[in-house]
Parts: sequence; C-alpha cells; structure tokens
Amino acid sequence: MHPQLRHARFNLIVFVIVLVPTVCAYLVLLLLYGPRIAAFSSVGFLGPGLFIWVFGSGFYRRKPGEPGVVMDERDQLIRDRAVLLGWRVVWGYWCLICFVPWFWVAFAWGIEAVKEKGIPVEFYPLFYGGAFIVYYVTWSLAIVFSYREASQA
Amino acid sequence: MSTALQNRIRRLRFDHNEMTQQELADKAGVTRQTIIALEANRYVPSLVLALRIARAFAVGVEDVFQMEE
Repeated sequence: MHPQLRHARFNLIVFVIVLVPTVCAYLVLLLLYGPRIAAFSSVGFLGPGLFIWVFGSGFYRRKPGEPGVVMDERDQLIRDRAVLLGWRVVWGYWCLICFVPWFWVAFAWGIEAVKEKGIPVEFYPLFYGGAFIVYYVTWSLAIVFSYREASQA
Repeated sequence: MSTALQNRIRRLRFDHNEMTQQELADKAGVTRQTIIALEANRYVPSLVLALRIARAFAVGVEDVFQMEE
C-alpha cells in the first residue's frame, strides 16, 4: 500500500473512531439534557481523536528517528499521477458545487427553512460538525480514490 | 510497434538461494510492493533501479530484463 494511501486510510479510521462516539454522545445527551448541554458536553469526546490525529503519525515509525514515510521511485510516480488525478477530482467537486444551479436552489431553500423554523443557536454545532465531517471525509475519500486509481496504471 | 519489457526476476530470485522479495527490495533500495509490481510486469523500472537489481543478482541488465517486440 502506498504511504500516502495508508495515511488517508488512517485519517478515515480516526474520523470513524472519533465521530461515531461523538455523534452518539450528542444524541444521547440531546435526549437526556437538551441541546445546550449536549453541544458543549459532546465536544469532549473529540479529545482522544484529536490526540491520535496529531501524534498518530509516530505509530508508523518502526524505531525512534526513523522517517515515517519512505517512498521509492514507483511510489513517487504513483504520487505524481495521484496528484494530477486529485486536482481533477477537486476541480470537479467545486465545479459541481459552484456551477450547477441546483446547489444554489438548495442553499436558498435551506436558508429559508432555517429562517421559518427558527432553529435555536444551540443546534448550530450540529451544522458545523456536519460540515466538518463532510469536508474531511470527502477529502480523505478523494485521496484514497486518487491513489487507488494511480496505483492501477 | 508495441514493446513490452519482460523480466526474469522471479526465476533469478529462486536461483539465488530462494531470495525473498523483501531481501531483493532491501538490496535494490525499494519497497516490496515495487518488486511485486515488477514481477507482475505492471511497472517499468528506471535505469538506475534496473542496474541495482542486476547488481543484486550479480548479472548483466539484459540477463534480467528483455524487451519483446
């Protein structure tokens, strides 16, 4: 497995390990204590995951001081191909969002829905959390896809 | 004209005291995945890598790699 692909897979695993308990905790706390307590208390569940995310790259090193990522010539070739492919994925993603009218329709509809229903501020972390999950999981999946495709060539 | 690079790495490994892919990878300075890709003809090595592999077997480059037309 390519080192960068292993890194992306590691990120995906961390996201799943961290986000699933956090979302579960939020839902349980929401039912028991309401939105305000749930929003602030469930943030604590992100702590261990953030620790793994920041210091986890050290787990790949066999010995202290040994570099975590070693790429030979074929790995570098795959990386070059994957970067080109990744740019296409990213540009495709943004073009899909920015230049397709349905996005703006959905965006306007969402704003109107929030205005009409008057969603309280305590629920906003849920939206930020959702955006965070979508953003990073999309990126990780794009990297995994790019490297998988580049490795096949 | 289509050309394909064939190699005898697998044969040479077994001729050299059943050398493992990892041992060859360490001698050539690449990962085991690269050796796997080479043996499966999924990767064309650089000249430097081809020379390193040939040196690991103590043979010439053309004893390891052959170009079929």
